[in-house]
Amino acid sequence: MNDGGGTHELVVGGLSADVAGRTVLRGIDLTVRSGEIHAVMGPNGSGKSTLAHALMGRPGIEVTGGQVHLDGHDLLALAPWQRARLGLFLAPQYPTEVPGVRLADVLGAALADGPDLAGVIGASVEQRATAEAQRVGLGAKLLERSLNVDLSGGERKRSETLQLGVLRPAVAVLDELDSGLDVDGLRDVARRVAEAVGEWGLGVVAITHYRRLLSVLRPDAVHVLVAGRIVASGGPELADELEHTGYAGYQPE
Amino acid sequence: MPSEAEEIWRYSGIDDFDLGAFSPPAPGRDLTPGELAQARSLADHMGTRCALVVTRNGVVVGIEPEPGLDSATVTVAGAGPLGSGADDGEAFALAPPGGDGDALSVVHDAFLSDVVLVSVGRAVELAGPVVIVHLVDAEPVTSGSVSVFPHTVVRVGPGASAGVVELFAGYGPRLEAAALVVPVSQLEVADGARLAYGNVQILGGGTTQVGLQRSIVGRDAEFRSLTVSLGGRYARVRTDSELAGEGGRSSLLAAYLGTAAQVHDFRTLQDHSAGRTESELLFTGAVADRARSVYSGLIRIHKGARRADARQTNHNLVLSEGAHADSVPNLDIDENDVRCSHASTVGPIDEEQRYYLEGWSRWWPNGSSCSVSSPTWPPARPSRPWSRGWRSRWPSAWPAGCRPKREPAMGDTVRLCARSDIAPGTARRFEVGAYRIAVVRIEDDFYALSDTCSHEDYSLSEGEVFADACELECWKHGSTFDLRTGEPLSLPATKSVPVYPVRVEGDDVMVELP
Repeated sequence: MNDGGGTHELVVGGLSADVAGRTVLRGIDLTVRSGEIHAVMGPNGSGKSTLAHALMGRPGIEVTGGQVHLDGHDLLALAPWQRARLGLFLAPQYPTEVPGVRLADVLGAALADGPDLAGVIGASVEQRATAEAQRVGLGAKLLERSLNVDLSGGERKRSETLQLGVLRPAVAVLDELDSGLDVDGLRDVARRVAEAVGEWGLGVVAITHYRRLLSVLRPDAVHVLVAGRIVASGGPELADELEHTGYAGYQPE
Repeated sequence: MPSEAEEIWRYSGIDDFDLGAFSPPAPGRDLTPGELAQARSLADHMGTRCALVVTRNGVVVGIEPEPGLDSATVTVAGAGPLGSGADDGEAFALAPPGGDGDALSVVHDAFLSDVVLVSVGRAVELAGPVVIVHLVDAEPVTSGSVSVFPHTVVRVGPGASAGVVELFAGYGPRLEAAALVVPVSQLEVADGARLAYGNVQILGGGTTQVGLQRSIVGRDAEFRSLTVSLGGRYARVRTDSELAGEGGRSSLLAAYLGTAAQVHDFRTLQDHSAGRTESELLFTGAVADRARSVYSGLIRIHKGARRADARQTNHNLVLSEGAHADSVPNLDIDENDVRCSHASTVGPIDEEQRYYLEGWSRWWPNGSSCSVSSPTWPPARPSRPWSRGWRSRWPSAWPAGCRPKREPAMGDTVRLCARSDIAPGTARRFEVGAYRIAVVRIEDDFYALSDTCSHEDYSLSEGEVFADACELECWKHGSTFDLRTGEPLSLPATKSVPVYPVRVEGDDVMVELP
């Protein structure tokens, strides 16, 4: 994970992928550096979640072409945990329930494994987790509960953001972090992610349908994903425009 | 010597065990101060204690009561087996061999050197547990390998409350050398008494353990145990718990983790001989690399044990391709008006959960790292009524990580056993999720059908196989069923039983669930 200094670079080049024999990604190019926030927007079924999971290496997604490098490491050759170790983080759209495994235990296990964070943490895992829970508006008792079990959609997203704050990744892929959240929740998690960009230079790929996440988490670049291709890229004004016009103007030929 | 053909030794690998490779225990020696410090620090992991007993290769080498332990009401002693040192007025009666006692318990009784006695007087409440550290040093002996026979007797008097933790640990420079450890723990919980008992095994990697924990629980008494099995090459624990008095309760928990080529082998008996008795059993574990685990358990409800309530659950995680778990729960019910349930699962970690955990932590560095949450030790007295208090804690007792994928379900193909596990011309019962399946072998052909007779609730696999006619007979009322179609061929049954596709892959017998 992040060593607390230096800059990181996630480079996606010509990434194509199939899911269940169907081509979903058709050549994605994207470069995200430390401190940058990239929004990926697009209609349902355009391949946004597949992009997120292809970056993290979910089983069942068959990469058919292209490369993904993080700081020069070929991620496509690595298992998900190895990608995580290099500093990639995914907050999935639907965080999985893991009965019997407490959030606090997994955070402890993640941080105990490896010396690279020793100098950065400066506080116990519990202290950090408790502080992060407060920042995203989660009760600290949630740390003692099984991962995502019986959590509302909004609590799960706050929990993902808490994990991001404790683990301090280099690049975070946030897959519809705004879904399931009410207005207060959206503000809390978006603010936390924005602060992480300042605190340790987190690089962000924020996948979303809507502009509302981006009103707090101001993107440096907005990419429009339609039918597995990035069909337009621009500044924050592109998100505003999409809010008015929708994706109708970006249908593939 | 026992053989694997006996149910109690099935899957154990006992046929390859050679008792002749081991020597009787060597004369004992005292611990060095360094060794004693090591034993104390092991015991410190068990929290605040009221006394420490240390044995080395089965010989008591240290007894350290904490200040405040009242020796008038609590005896912590070690002595020869004939009761020379016992001061509670009774000889140390050894565990009776029992009708189906292991052959190795007989060897144990012949060779044991010392007995550790913990005796708690009437209505005494111990503040902390008595911790017994059994150190096993695979020291060189004149011929063969060392053998060790620890023996512990715990007696909790009427209305008393106590905790005892036994820790079996390998130590010394020959941790990986062969050794045989045959511990017997005899636990007596008198009427109205409570005993919380822990048994933690971290023996060396060359050790064969064949252990017996036998508890007898009196009227309205409560016995709770937690067995943790981590070490050893082959580590077997047999847990027999008899609920002998009305209203007696037992809770039997175990956690185990097998790596490399380890074998963990558990045999359990929940023996209900009195009415309104209640037992809960949850054994959970994981196997990685080429490790194996075996769970075979029986709930036995004797005549007269009305309103008995027994539950038995075994969950296994298989963490690598080469690892394997066998799980065989059984019921034997001789009384009406009882509640019994049993369940077992064997499976890998859910792929989705694994991906999720990998993706945001570095939690899977070697593919088998797994933290195990166990119930708090020592278990606190439940503030709510006993049964509710414990039942509500069960979901959290899953081994972390670690929920077996799911119950086997429609369309799954499941490995049931090896070909050689079923002799030609015989039937065997398997439980796969909610399915009870009778598998019949006729020469080299295998057939699978629902184990439950379509007439009444009897197990077909206990009936006779008619190889020539390709039929299976229900032992209770004599209906026969065609093994190929499941059709009934004779009364009283009139309905077919389901049949399942079977195939043999290599040495594995596989069945496809409907």
